[in-house]
Amino acid sequence: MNHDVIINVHSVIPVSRINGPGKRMVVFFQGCRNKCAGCFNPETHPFIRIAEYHPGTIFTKFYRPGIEGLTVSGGDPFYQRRGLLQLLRSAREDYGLSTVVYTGFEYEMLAASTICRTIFSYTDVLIDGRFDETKIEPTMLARGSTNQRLHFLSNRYTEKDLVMPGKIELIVGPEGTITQTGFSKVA
Amino acid sequence: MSFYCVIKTELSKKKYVIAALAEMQRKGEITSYVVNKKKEKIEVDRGGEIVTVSRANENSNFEIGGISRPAREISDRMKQLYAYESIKDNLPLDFEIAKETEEAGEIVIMLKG
Ligand code: SF4
Repeated sequence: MNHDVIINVHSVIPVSRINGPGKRMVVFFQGCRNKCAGCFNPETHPFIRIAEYHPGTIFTKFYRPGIEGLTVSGGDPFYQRRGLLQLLRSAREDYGLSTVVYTGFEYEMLAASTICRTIFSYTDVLIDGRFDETKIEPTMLARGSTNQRLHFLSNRYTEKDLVMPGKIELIVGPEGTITQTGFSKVA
Repeated sequence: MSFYCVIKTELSKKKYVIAALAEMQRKGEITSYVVNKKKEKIEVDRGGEIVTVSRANENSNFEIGGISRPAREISDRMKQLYAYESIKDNLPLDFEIAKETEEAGEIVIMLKG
């Protein structure tokens, strides 16, 4: 494994139930230039150092046994492709996790790049396309807007696995911090 | 991308502090609590360990005083239950609770909307 790769991470949720099938660790990458109007996470856009981790350290620090998979969100993870690849490879090979990746780029454009095709070989589901606030997803499908496409890159999941138990998950930690995630938000 | 944000809980509203303490008492996590209405002060008894929840005036946040270990433990749990009570009480009308669970020390609330 390449240990010199560093990922600039905005935040990590060790266990979420609404970012893909089952319980999942969610890693939000820092940095995005895609400028989707109405993006849920504008504070993830600047390319400034937030928390830098080797991919392996993300697991040693945040992994909780019993989770089904890793979801990579952001920010757009495809601005940090080497780190994304290492993270997904480690998720699958070292921890036996399934992988879901969100991106504002389109699959076809990414697929022209060799490293992205390698990334896809470690991705079970890719949800692609910019967030469009005029096409908000009305169902419990795990995407922000209906123009975003679900690409099942392995045979591990089908669309029904991406139907979530809610629109919003609120996790109240042991010291009272409230983590809010999902495909809508409480104002 | 999915939405992400974190909110830190401050103990600003007395009614949720009391609701949190009532829930802790119901669950047997504290023995009793006594509210001193005049002094913005609540005395909490956990099996003989006494902790004080108080604030300087109506516009400041409640703080916990007393022996450091029980004070910290009671404060953490109280903040968690305070957050839970205030979430339930302030849900926008277009959302409803689909499911709530408590696991690994976390309270998880799933909303439909
Ligand atoms: S690609 Fe994702 S993070 Fe970037 S602006 Fe669009 S929704 Fe936001």
